[in-house]
Amino acid sequence: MRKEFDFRSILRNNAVTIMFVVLCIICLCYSGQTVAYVMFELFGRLSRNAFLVLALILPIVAGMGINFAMTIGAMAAQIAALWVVEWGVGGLGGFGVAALMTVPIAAFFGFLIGKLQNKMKGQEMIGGLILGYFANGLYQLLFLFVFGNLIPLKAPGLVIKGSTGVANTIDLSTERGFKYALDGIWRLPFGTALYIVCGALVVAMAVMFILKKIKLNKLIITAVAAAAACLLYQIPAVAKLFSMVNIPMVTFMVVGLLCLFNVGIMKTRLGQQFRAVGQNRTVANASGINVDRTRLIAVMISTVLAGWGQLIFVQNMGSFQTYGAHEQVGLYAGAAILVGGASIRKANNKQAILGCILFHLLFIMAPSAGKNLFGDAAIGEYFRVFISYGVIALALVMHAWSGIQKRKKAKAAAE
Amino acid sequence: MTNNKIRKMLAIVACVLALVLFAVGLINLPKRGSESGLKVLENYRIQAILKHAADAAGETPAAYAEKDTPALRTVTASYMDALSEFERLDNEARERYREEHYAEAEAALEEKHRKMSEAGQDIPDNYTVEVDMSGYEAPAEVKAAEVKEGEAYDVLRNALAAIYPSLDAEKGEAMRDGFRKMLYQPDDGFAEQYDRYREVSGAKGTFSAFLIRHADDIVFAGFALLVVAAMLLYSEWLVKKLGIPRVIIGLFFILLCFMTLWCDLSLPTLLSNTVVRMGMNAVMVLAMVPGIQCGISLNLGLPIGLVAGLIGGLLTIEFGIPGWGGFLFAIAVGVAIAAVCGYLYAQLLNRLKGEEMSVTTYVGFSIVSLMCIAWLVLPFTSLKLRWPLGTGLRNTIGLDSGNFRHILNNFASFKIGKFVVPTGLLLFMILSCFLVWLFSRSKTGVAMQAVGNNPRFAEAAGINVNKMRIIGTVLSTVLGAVGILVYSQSYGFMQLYTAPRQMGFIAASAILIGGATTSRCKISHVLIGTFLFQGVLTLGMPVANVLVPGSTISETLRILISNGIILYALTKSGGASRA
Amino acid sequence: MHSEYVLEMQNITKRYGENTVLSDVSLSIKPGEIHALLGENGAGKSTLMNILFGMPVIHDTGGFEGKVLLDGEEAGIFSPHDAMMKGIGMVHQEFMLLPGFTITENIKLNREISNPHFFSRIFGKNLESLDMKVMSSDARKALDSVGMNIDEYTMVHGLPVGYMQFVEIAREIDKSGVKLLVFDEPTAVLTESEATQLISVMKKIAESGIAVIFITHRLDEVMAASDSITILRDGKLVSTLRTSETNIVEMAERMIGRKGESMVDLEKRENPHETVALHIKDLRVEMPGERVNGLDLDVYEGEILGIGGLAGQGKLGIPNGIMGLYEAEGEVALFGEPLKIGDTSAALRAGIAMVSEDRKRVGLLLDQAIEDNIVFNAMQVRGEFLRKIGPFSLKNSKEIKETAKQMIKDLDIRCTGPLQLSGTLSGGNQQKVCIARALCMNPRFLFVSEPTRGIDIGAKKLVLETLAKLNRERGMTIVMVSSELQELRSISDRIAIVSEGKLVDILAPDAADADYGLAMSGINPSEQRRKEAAGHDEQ
Repeated sequence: MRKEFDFRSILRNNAVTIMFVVLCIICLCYSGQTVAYVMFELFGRLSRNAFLVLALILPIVAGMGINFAMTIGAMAAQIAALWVVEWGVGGLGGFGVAALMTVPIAAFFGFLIGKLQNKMKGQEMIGGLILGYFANGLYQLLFLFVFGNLIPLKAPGLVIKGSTGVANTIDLSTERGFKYALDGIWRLPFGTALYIVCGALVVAMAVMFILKKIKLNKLIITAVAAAAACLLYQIPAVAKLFSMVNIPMVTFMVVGLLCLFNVGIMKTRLGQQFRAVGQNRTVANASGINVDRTRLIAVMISTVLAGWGQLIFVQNMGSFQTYGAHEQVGLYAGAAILVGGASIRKANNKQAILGCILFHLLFIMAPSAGKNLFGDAAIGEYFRVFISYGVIALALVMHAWSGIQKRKKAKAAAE
Repeated sequence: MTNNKIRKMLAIVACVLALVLFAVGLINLPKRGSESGLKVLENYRIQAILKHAADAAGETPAAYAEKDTPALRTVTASYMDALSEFERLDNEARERYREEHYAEAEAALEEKHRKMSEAGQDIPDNYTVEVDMSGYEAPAEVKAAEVKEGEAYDVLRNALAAIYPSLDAEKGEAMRDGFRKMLYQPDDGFAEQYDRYREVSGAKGTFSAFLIRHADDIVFAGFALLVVAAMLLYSEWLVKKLGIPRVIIGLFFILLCFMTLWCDLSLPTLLSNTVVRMGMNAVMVLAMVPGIQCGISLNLGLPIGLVAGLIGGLLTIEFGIPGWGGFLFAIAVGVAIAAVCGYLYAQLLNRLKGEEMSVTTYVGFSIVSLMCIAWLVLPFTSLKLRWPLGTGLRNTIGLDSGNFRHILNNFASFKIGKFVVPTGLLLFMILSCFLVWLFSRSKTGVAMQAVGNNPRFAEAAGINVNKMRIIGTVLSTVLGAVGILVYSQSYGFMQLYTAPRQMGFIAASAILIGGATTSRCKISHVLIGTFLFQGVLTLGMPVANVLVPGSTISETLRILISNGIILYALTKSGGASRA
Repeated sequence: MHSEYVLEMQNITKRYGENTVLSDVSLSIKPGEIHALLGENGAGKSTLMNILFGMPVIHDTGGFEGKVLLDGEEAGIFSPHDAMMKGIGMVHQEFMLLPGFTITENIKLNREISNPHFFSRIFGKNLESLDMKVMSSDARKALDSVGMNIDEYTMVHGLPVGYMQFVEIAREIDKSGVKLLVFDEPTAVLTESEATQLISVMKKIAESGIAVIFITHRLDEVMAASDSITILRDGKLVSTLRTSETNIVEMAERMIGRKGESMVDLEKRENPHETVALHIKDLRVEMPGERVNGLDLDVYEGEILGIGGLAGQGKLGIPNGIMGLYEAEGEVALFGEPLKIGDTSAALRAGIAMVSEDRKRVGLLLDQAIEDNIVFNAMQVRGEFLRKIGPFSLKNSKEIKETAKQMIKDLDIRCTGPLQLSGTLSGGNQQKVCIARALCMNPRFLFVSEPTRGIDIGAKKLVLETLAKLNRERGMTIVMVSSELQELRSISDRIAIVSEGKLVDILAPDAADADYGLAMSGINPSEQRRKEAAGHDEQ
């Protein structure tokens, strides 16, 4: 009896995630794509999207919901990328300069976003969304009328004669750009990467154990899991699934670093303040925490991270749409983190990564599944857009609902 | 205090300047038709003729002062008379011909579009009916006038040949067309002729001529300065009364009006377009009113209603119901679907009190993308709607006179100069506003407003808050459905797929510009807001194109205004407390 | 220089504009002493505490006069943070705890113990990592000192209410150098046994040398816990007593006192006791902060019944519950006919009208015209002021305007006309608009809740006179709920005192002050007398 109840509550609490798993399985059955191809696509998409999704965690913890204004961070990154191409700093150096340039720009934008969102507490998400749209207008002004007109651009291909402003696409694959700047440093086939990661994990755990930061059983579990993964990979059928996968090690390391950052910052005073503000602003304020400042910091960090995430994204893509590459960033990242089981009040690394995997699995397979099921790939395309919006709408509805339910329950408990 | 004084001083300076400008402008404006104006024109005309002839003859232009003889002037004047007589008659005859054959051409174009759509091509969004002029033949009187014009021209050419010896008959004939274009254009005014002659001759202008040419601009500048002065004097009062964003947008609109005048664009035409666009958007903006009044704040889930309206329109075309019947059928179906969807939507909103804004936005977005799938799979059969090859409905569905294209716009419409009054559209807008106003005075309407205003007050009067919110939401959704149909009939196209996604925002920002807040609104806000918003967009586009040719600045403008005003409203409604 | 007192507040005077809320109040507390602060609502207790804590509301309104000394030195407290740094702590009435944090994290909120490392040296103290071990051992110590043996890693979410109170106390104790703790109505939400435990904890804290200010309305707790007592009334210091030298009756008497003469001149009359207009039995109302907990009361036709009691004791819950504005249960009958409880429109249709205590949030449509406010209920409930046109019933502007004008004249509402927005009126005139709306309903029975809250003296008098006139001339039965005893005594025929959601006693307007004081503390005066008499007899 009790077990069944637990099962139900698990089902209820993870409804979105479970629904997505089911959808992914259905799509896999009908898409007709090989698992090897799906895996290849998935790892590619993970490497470019995971950072963006992880950038959303801090504002959620600080009680500001999904930072839809992260598109503004992406805009900052694109401004930096434009200038790096203009200066012709190619390769890894170019990527580094762009990343450095992104920091002050995105931090400044983040500051403005935070200031504005502090004026609309409780409406941060819709505010962020609309702020993103608004900033998009300013961004267009900047790219159409300032860059290339008032401030001339000299690099070839940035301005097309006969049309105003910066060209529609900025190509990063020339020697002036930084295509694969990060991905290309160290690429390994899946098997080798797996061995290295497992080995590194076990070593790290062992060191932690020796330093007495963790208990023995955790070390053993990690070691066994790593060994099992490596052994499993020895089965040819399993190995074949990953035959096409090539791992950009540095990119994933950067993603890993961000995960560590997200965990680490929660163990600091600042992290404690984020959590306190996220739970109850009044209480946090009463205990002397500067609520507005804390929220501001969370948004600023998130915006800078979003900028870096966008840089990772475009270096992998090799080019970007000048006027459109940033538009859907917030939507897809927001939907992904919610799919992983996060809510607009709670989120962690695991949910972000899981959500990213599930969401992009569906993204890869939906068009071809749509084509096979309904004879039209467009259905799959629209379906995944619908899913993105739908997941966010559902999360908002469930959040609002649970808030009201909680109030009712509290009332009932008081009786 | 000093700030105030400076402002007053500036206002007075501006007023004085304006008066000076008025005086200069109004003195010079009548000169255009008078002796001195004609003289100025004549001077430039002779210069232009001399320059043009010299170019044609391949000689260096003769010094104007020497060759400007009374004889040449008489010859030129008589040629001008003959030319304008001929052109006038010819244009009239052509216009008659065009009118006679208009219906034919229209039918041919529709036939062509039908064939295009059968072949799976997209019909262009903006098309005009072009009458084929190949069958035109000039009537006798025009021919006679042409002969006279030829004679006068020969005289002029001879006079010019006397100046430029190398100007033989052949060269003279070759430059004839240039002369015609230079000397006469339909609807010629002082400014147009002046600019043309100056351009051809490259002659230096005199200050007095400049004053006459720009007399109208000087008067406009005077008006602009008066506005500036008024703004300086009443800025505080205005800002207090209207709020900063409205003042900015209002000023921007006035600025654009002046810009159109300065750029010599036709203000009446643009204002007429503005009125049309106001009419076509107003019902959608009106849909915000019941939403705000019943307390769900801005109904950003408006796409639900829009989609319902679109389905109604699609069914009309599918069944091929023509004219008014079709339009009314579309409205009836749209309203019915919107009512049902609105009811369900309201049930959802009643469970989410206080968090409507973000939820409505994303629910609206989801519905739009869900309908994207629906447009692909719904079993419509009409080829006007479907892609002939491939699946699903077209992106934009062109309405034609067989459906309800311009059915309201053209109803009893009439022209005042260049200003077209779309009577039917305006009547429909006023009727809708009147009905909503009437409803807001009914017992239910009063109760609904109380719910929006202060739900606890309403509860204390025994009013069912949820029921009132349902009524408001359903009304809002229904108005959205009607609104999109009005919009489509005026636009001439129904836009499916992602097009309705942003319309909720546009409607919301229009009413906010009009002076509404997220919790308070009036019908006047709808009218003012729609007019201002659409006015800025309609005027902004051509002005921007003059300033920066080929730009999409108008779209950028829309993004900035519409989202900026919503952001502003959000910061006003949200709690600004520290905790 | 050291003083024998931890805290001395000398000659404190505080004005909000013209309005003097504290005048010349002094207070001094020794280390290890439990000092009770007593007074009715509005006596100035919270203002005094706001001054002590340097709340912005004090400094934003021009500060105060007088001195606050800590350990004999001028304290200079300008913000709650200053107060915290100087060793003054507060146990709040509503809990300032984060449910998603463990007890340790809550106790150490914003006072975390942290270790510096590489990044924190660059980016500042905020990035230092937390030392959970030290934090939890500190928390353990604090929990032990309040006698709680719950695990310090437990989440606060789901703890019983009583535990939360103790966590709050533990947090205050844990603050280093705390010298003075203020307990603001700490026992209001506790069960009886928890309250007893709390008092013993409080005594334990005091024994460790920390001074305690104990704000409460429960006189028996004051007797049980405190060493000394300060009583405030109307912003003035009434007396400072040793607990051992006084008794409950004396405290009650001093707390109430007589505040001048009656505010309205009315002829004395026999209390009408013939028919029961409203019969209330076992009423329970779930109004947050004003719960009614099984109340029985009869109201007679033609009388003015006052309902008094301290804030938070449930007197406001009675009208709100009967009108169905909050969840309620119980039996209510109006003129013998049972009333469906919890249904607002049924109550309105039965002929009960109510003037709400919350003018701005419940009583008025601030954004709408006076006339619309006045006729609203009559239009919605009784369908008056409407004109039928086809299927629509539209509001009849002419009739509305006439009625509004009449009401404005009758009640002397000062306004520019019936179209003025009600939000722009003064408090007293807003109150009259609310009364006008109730009168438009032609009620048989009128609830008036806090009719004079937030309005000036002259307007108060007018409102009370209006009520008396309605009662005398139209024979309307009126129940007036008010925190101001003086105004209840001015026009009521009988006064019911409510405490902890129950009726304590019904007193005559001219009953002794001590009786009122006792009743408000939840002690039935006649029973107290009997007890004392019994005590004397034994001696």
